[in-house]
Amino acid sequence: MNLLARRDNELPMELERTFPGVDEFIRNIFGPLHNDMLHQHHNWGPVHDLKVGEKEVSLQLACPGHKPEDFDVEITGNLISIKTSCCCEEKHAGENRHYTFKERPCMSFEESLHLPVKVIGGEAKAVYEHGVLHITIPRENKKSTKSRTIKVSCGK
Amino acid sequence: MKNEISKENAPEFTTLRPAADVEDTATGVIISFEMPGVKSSDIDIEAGNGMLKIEGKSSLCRRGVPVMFKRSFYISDAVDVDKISASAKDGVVTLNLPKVENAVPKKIKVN
Repeated sequence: MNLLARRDNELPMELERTFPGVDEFIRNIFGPLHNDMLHQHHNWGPVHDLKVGEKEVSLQLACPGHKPEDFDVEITGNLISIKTSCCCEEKHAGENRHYTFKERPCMSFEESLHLPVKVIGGEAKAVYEHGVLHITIPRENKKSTKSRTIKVSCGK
Repeated sequence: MKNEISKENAPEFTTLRPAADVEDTATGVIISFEMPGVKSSDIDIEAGNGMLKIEGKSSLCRRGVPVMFKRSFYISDAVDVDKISASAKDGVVTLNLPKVENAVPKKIKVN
């Protein structure tokens, strides 16, 4: 017996809260609504967010359901590589599980990024919190980047 | 002036639908939602009138706009709404929807 059903074409919750029954009303008039009309749907996957600050570079990588020990982070020069293995299959091996549907990806991944600035890889810090891997890497001290005015002299 | 107008029209959140696994058990249903960057205090779950709604504000941003995860399901009357429980760990929110006692299948021995 199925206890729940997906709402594939759903209206924003705010609209339903303000006008109860609007969902059914719109469906009766326009028929099934297309997802893209209502929501942005994306596969989240290992999405990253890179911020380059004055003193450090910070990287956020969304990878829910992992453990800190699952990650392998390597920094070589300006290249950062993040590997993670998924233990879902091992964890559920031998268990007789029945999924009505399964959307969460269960796989290992490897992500490599070229950082736009020079960094000190040896001083990088990584924290895994609420399913997001936060990596902070200090930037190498910049050499003088003061602008210089160059006089243009007359030729012959 | 142009910037002010664009700021006003900028969306407050980018709404994403979290991926979910639904697992049937003998006593109910377990739903796991992938909601990275969402603290347990920022999760809002509503159940009733045949619907289950979940939303959570994430610390993540997409193109500079904070991410909000939202999803809803139709639920059967056989779900004991008062006993729904939820937990969050490592960006995965797990909901346990138990069946009402009458709906739990009972094995009958054939003599």
